[in-house]
Amino acid sequence: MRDCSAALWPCAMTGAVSCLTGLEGIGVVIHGASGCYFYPATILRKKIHCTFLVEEDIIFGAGERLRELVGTLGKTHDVVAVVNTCTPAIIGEKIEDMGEGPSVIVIDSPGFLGSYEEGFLAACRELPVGIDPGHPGVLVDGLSPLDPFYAGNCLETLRLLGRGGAMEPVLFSACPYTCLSHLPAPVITTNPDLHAGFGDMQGTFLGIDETVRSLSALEHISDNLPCDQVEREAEASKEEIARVCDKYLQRHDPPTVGIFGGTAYSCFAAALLEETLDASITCVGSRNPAALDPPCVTGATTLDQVREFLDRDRPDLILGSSFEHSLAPGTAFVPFTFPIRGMVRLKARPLVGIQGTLGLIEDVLNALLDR
Amino acid sequence: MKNWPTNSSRTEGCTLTGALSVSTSIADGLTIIHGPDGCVHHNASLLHALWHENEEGLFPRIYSTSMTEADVVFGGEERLVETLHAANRLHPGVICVLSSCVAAVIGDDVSTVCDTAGVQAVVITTGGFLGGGFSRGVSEALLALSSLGRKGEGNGTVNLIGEKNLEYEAEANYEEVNRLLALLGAKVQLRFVRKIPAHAISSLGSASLNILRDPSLTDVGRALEARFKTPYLSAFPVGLGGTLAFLQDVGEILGIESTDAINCEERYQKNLAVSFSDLDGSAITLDRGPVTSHVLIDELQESFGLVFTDQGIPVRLPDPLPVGTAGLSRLLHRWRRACRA
Repeated sequence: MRDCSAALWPCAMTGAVSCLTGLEGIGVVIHGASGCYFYPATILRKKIHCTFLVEEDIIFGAGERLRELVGTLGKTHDVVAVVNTCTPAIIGEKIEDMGEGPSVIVIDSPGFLGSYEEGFLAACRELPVGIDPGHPGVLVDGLSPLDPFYAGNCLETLRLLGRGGAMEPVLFSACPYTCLSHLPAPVITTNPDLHAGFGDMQGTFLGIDETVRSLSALEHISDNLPCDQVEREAEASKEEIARVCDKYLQRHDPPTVGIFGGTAYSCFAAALLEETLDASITCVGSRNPAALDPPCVTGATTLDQVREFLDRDRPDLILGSSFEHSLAPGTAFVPFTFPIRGMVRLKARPLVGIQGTLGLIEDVLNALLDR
Repeated sequence: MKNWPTNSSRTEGCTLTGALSVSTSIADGLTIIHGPDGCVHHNASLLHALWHENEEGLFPRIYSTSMTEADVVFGGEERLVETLHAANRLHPGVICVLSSCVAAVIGDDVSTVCDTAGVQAVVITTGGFLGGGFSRGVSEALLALSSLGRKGEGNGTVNLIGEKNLEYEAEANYEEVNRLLALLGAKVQLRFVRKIPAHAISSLGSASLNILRDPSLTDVGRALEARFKTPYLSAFPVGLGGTLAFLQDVGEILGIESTDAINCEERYQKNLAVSFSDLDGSAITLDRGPVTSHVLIDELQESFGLVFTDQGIPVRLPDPLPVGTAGLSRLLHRWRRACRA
C-alpha cells in the first residue's frame, strides 16, 4: 500500500532553482504560477524571478511573457536560466527559442519529475561546464543554498583549502557563473547526494578522517596544501571529541538516536555517533532513498513513515527537521535537515570538515545534556 | 515592463493554498491533494511554519496522490481512488479533495472519481493556479464545505465566515469580535471554518447572522443567504466609527437594542484617545502598502491628533486592517513604540 501522507521533501523544480541561485550572475526565472514561485523564493531567500502565469497564459500561450522577462533580465545578467514548472511542461510550449537576446539555459525540471535532488542534478546537467586541466584549483561540489549547512560548509571548505593561499577552491553551487567554463579537474564533494558529476572525484569533506584523506589526495596537485597542519588539527579535534564523549558516557548510557535527512548526511551522522558515543541508531530515515542506499537506510519521505519510526522505537535523540521535532516535542533534538522552524538560526554552521564534526558532536551532547 | 504583474491574481498564490487554509482547519478532517508530492510539500511546509508561529498543532493532515510523469501521460484517476480509500480507512470527520494544476491540465475528472469511488468526500474546485488564486481557493472551500450545513430556524446566534486562518492575529481578531458581540448579548455559534470538528458544520444554517471576515467573501455570503436565508454583514469591523456601526448593524439584524452597547464602546474609545494623548501632534509617514482606508486615516487624525506628512516617523498600515477598537489600540501601541524609538 502506497503511503499517501504529506510529503516532507521539496520537488525537482525547487531543487533546480536551489542549484541555480547559488551561481552569481545568473538570472533565475521560474516559468510558472505564483504558487510555485513563493515556496522556493521564501525558503531560499534569494532573488528569483517568475512569469506569474495565470490560466489565460496557458490558453493563449505564455511564450511572450517569458521572452519579455528574459529580455529584461538579460540586460543585467550574464545568462538567464529558465526553470520549467508542471503545467507549461505538460502543454509542451517550446521555451528553448527565446530569439535574439541573452544566453538562456532551460531546465526542464517540473515538480512531478521527482524530488529535490533530481532537480538539483538536472540543473547541473544543463549548465555549460568546461573542465580546464590547467586550472590550479579544486572544485568543491555538493553545496546547495537550501541546505541549513550551506554557508557553514562554504566557510569550512575555504578555511581548509585556502590557508595561506594554498589552493584556489571553486565552490559549486556558490561561485560566479563565469567560473563554470573553466572548472578545475579535481573534485571534492561536501555532499555525495548532490555530486554534480563534473571532474575527477578525490573524496569528501564529510568527516574528519575523510577530510584529511581528501586533502592528502590533492597533495600531488599542489605542494602548498597545509596537510600537516590539518592533520595536526584533526588529531587534536578527535582527541577532544573522545574526551567529551567519554565524559558523557561516564555518567550516561549511550543514547538511542533517530536520524532523518539526506542519505549521505544521515549515514555520516550515524557512523559518527556509533563511533564516538557507542550510540544505537534506531533508524536512518532518508528523504532521498535510492536503490543503491546502504541497507541500514530506510525511506522517510512522508509524515506517516516518520511517525511510524518514532512510535515503534522512540529514541533519546532526534537529528532531523522540525517535522520530526513536532512529532516528538519532548525528545532531545538537533536541527539537521530542512526545514528548521521555530528557532532563530543566524550563525553559519558547517557539517563538513573538522569544524563540522566538532559542531555536530557539540550540538548532540548539549541536546542530550539539556534533556 | 508592459503587461507586468499588476493583476493581483498573478501574485496572490495558488488556489490550493487558499483552500487548504480552510480545509486543514477542520480538526478531524483530512485533505487530499490530487497532484505531485511537490505541491503537497510546498503547502504543508508553509502551513506547518505558520502553525508553528501560532503554537498550534503540528502538521496539517494532508494526503497526496503523488502524481508522477507516468500519471501525466496515462492519467492519475486510479491514484486518486487509491488515496480516497486510504484516507477513508482513517475515518476522518470529512475528506476534502483538491486538484492541482497537473490534474486539471491532463483532464482528470476529480468529481466523477469521487462520486464513483464509494467514499464520501467534499470536492473543492481548485485546479491549482488554473482555477484562480489564493482567495478563490478560500471561497471555493467555504462554498464546498457549506454543503455539510443543514437548514434550520434562526436561533439568534452568529456565524463567523472565512476567518483568515493564516493570519498571525486571527485569534486576537476573533476575541475582539466576540467581545463586541458580548456587549449585545449575542454569541458565536460556529466559526466557519476555524478549529472546528466536521460535525459542527451541520449547524451552519441555524444562525441568525453570518459575519464575513472581509468583503472578498461576498459571494460566499450571498450563497449562504440564498441557501439558508441567513443575512450577512460583509466584514469584521474596522476603525472607531466602523466598530460602532458594526454594533448597530448586528443589533438591528438580531433584533437587539444596541444603544447601551454602543454607549459602552464609545466610552472605551474615548478612554483609548486619552491613553494615546501623547501621540497628539506626532508626525507620521504612512506606508499604506496595498491597503487604502481614507476613513481610518481620517479617524486617526481627528481622534488621536496624528499628523500625516512625508517627513514623519515611518509606520505601516497593516494588511488586513486592524479589527475593532482593540485592533486599533494594538496598532497605536506599535506606532507609539516607533515614535519613541
